[in-house]
Amino acid sequence: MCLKKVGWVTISLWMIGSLLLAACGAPTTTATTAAPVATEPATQAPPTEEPPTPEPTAQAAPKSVTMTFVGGDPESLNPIYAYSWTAECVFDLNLASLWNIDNDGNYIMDLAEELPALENGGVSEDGLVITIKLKPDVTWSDGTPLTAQDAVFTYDMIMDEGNSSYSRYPWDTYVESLTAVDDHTLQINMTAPYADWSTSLFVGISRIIPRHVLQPVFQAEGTLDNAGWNRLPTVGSGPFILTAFEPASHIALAANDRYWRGRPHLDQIYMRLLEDRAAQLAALASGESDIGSYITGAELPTINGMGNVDITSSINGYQVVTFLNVDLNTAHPAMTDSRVRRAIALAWDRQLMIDQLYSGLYQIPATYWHGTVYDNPDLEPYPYDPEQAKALLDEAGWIDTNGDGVRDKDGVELVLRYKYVGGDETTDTRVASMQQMLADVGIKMDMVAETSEVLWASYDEAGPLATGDYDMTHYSDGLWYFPSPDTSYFLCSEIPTADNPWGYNWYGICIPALDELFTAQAVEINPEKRVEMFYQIGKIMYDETLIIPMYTDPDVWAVNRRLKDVKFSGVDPLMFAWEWDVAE
Amino acid sequence: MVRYVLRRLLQAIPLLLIISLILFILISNLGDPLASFGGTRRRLPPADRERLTRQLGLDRPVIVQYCIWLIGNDWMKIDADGDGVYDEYGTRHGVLRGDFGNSFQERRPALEVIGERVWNTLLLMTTCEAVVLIFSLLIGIYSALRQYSAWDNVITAFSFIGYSMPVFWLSLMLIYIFAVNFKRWGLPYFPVSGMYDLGVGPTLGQIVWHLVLPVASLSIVSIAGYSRYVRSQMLEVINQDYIRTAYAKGLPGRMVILGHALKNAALPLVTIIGMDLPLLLGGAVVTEAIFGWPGMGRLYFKATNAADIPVTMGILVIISVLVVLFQIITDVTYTFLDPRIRYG
Repeated sequence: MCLKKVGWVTISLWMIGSLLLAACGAPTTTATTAAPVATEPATQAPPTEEPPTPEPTAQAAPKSVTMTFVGGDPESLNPIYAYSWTAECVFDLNLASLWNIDNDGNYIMDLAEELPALENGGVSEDGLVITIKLKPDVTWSDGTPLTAQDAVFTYDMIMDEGNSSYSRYPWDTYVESLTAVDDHTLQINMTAPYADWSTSLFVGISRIIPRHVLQPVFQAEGTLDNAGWNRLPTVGSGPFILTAFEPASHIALAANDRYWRGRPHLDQIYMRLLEDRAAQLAALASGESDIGSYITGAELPTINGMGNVDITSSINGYQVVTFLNVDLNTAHPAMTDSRVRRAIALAWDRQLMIDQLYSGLYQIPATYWHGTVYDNPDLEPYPYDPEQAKALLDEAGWIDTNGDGVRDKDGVELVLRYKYVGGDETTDTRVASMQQMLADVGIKMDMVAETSEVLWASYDEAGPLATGDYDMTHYSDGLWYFPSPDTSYFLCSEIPTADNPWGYNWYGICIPALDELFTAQAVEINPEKRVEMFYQIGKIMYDETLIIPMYTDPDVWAVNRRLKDVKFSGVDPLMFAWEWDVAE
Repeated sequence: MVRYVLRRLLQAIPLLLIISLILFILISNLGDPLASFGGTRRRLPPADRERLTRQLGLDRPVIVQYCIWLIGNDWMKIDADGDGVYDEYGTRHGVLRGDFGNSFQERRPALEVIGERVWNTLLLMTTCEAVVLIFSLLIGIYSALRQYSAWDNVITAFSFIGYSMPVFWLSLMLIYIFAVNFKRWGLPYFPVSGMYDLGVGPTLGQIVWHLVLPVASLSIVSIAGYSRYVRSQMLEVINQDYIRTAYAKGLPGRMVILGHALKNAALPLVTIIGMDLPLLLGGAVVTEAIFGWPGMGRLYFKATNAADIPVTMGILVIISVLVVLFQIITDVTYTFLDPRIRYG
């Protein structure tokens, strides 16, 4: 009897506990759309006007779209601390940029009136002063005018020692000061001409933050590191306002009535934060998710089978590249010969791999600058030609003298170590097929699968790539400020050493002509001249076969057909979200 | 008993300090916390790396970092602006004063980051543990009392099937059957992921509805294992002389089973549950990831991958404390179940 009583009491307690837990739930961070953060009151100008009367949508259900992101949580929703792609997507929705760039490379003005140029006086003759005219009628979502002072404040916060901002580049390298000439005129004074100002300063992941919200926090605490706005930026300037952020669950956004283009067509956007690709596919199949992100070629057949979902992709400057160790100090002797490198490229049937493993979703690039105006149009991707590969190897003196099926020269076997991040079934299959294709031309390739922590460890930690302890590797990489073509990967000075353990050039590429061109293009503000320089860079790298571009790695989205007017950009992924709509 | 418990608690203090030191050294060697900054798309420029290393306190020897983690740095001067001059007092209070530091990734208090997940994890895992206990006891006792019967054989077969199923596979199967296909077939269906429908909000009904599949996927494997354990323990006990005596005295069968047999068979089970309970806080990485449940498992996995020392240490220290506490509680529980056990 006693035990029975105890049992019932236990069950009752458990049920009550569960109910309490359910009732408490996670402390979801939510806010109403119009109110600024309570602890960070606006101290400047009050709202200049009443918000426009919302369209009469009370009768109809709100137009909502749910997106799934498999990249995990954004580390912060304050652009000075953020770096992830998920954060960048949120900024496209809640923080305006000076301008956006679409898939065709067109600059579409957002906060700025026009793109500064030599012709309109926006860029000085020496390239050291850039003057940006802001639209006069843009306000933050709480009605406070968005002015040049906000931009100056943002710059100050990036550079302030009190803030552990993610990165100060390129502000610390190229910008001397920012001046608010008047409320709507921003002047950026450069320390040197900087070719990429239009793709990196308050553009892309770099956005202007609200001074009237954050300045009081900074004045009180000496840092923005703990500002509530970083997690719940309820005051924004984009088409949507962030209303809730529950870590590992979702981000909710509502239409911004004060958006300068007018109220967006959708009422709400939910961003589900997932980490499992299969869960995303299930959510798409069940209709729980309207838009899926980071879709891979291997997932294409499953998505096509759903019947209600379309695929769309945007070139984003990223591609899967086979990088070769050509460092004279550490490379396999064969890899220092461009004929052997070219033979490797010719031996791989990349189109077959794309078709068989990735449902033909990707393209084969010829250069690292594929999909930009800097891609040399005279260069074609290396063809699949195993016979020419064999001829090149013969010409280079790599011949199978001992009959073991592997070419050799001066007693050295042509055995190359291919180190890569293993564990993904499709990737493992692709690398195995590359191994077989090389074997067909007499090159033995040893597959060495590593974890990313081991493979990409620094020079200090004896990382295989950083120390040149490899012959070939691959990963997806690209242009940081796409569509800007700039990269530091191939500079001699970036080869990792004890003095420069974090150097980017893990490949040992060091060609003086290439170095000169890379250095010159970074400060070339004449677009035509810069394009010409990259044509030359592309040609040198192509002729020398310094890298082997395997296939593009675009942003691939799955979109439910109940939506309409859904477009994306490879530069600013969700820049068109303000015009998305629901078809039914 | 009180003296025993107090002694155990005092012994736990140096033990926890040693555990925390070992964990801190191990975690500090997990990898470079700044390596994940920038993700796969942007690598951290060297100047920023140098600055962040200083701002996050990673420029000091591990043992100094541990001391600061433990007792804070508000009593010592630090070089806050990187000019080489130690001219400002730090702002950290240390774990002993309740400050676990700021998450490297999210730049906010680690305890706040952990606190956001605790309730979600407890909700999932305690529900799961309760389901596992109830069903494994019922199944285990039933099987033991009807040893080698047709039902016992059926239960045994299903137990082995359940025990053999990987959780990730079972989770995906449950999703595809009860969420995706049930919807296609026009049947009432379960949600794929999350804690509630985002359009409805976190109501009690929504949360219970969203709990069903993750709890099922976590429970099935455990029920299969635990029920076998209960069965074997019960079989051992019900053949003892004192059980026969109890029957011979005319006690009702239910009283014999629940009052005598189960109480004695439960002793090893209490040990296992005592070890299980503190680990519940760790969550279930795979299940949480597949069902998009915002729990501690995912947080721990993410923090470990990013070498986010404050968050990882916070989770591990809390679990360590709970393990020690629950061991004491388990030992005390023994005395209630078995009066022969005495602690001096």
